[in-house]
Amino acid sequence: MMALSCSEARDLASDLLDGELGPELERAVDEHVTGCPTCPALYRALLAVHHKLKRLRHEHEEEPREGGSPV
Amino acid sequence: MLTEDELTACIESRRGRLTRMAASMLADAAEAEDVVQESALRALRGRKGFRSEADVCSWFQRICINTCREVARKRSSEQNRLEAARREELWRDPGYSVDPEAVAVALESGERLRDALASLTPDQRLAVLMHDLQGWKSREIAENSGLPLPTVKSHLRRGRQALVTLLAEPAR
Repeated sequence: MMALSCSEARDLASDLLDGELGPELERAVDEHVTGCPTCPALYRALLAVHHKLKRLRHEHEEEPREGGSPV
Repeated sequence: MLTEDELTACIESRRGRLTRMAASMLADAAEAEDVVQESALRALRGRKGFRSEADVCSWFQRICINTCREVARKRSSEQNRLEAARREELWRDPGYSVDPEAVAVALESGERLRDALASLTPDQRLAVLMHDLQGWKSREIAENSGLPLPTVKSHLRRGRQALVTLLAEPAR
């Protein structure tokens, strides 16, 4: 089983939010966060920021797009 | 060869959204219009160097994104860079944590979120705004800015982490 440092788990948490981690790394982040005294709060805060920005994005997406680009 | 009419049509089709992207990046609507106008002039001046196998609108978009980064970098102070380094150091400290409730409360304030976004480094702000607020994929940001994909992903991670730190700190 892969053991992650706090710094590694915190960086990978961002990729986890985007669904970009493979199952092994996802498990490793999950295991680290479960057993760590400091990372769970950071992960919850990252998640809150992620959800807020996603909500704002959906509000913006009401506007029509031009040229098929996501700009 | 790319004609002036083709390029102008592309500029006009993208002007609105690129101006909004620049306004989010620079927090200044007038400067955002100047950035898009300057990018249009750069594109028109450089159209003879345009490679016909590339997409003309993506090419213009790339010019615009990089002009925006350039302006944002010029405005970014040494103090901003030191603050960004301090925040990165915090996230490397295993003892560092935050109160997620305080972050959730701060997120309810549009002003706190705007201030936090404005405090990111220009490249972190670009990555977070384009990826999280405008729905670009990291790969698309890399292709349109000329930055390597791992660099874009790193700016995105650091930008999100910095937002957490900024929102967890008491309002100034």
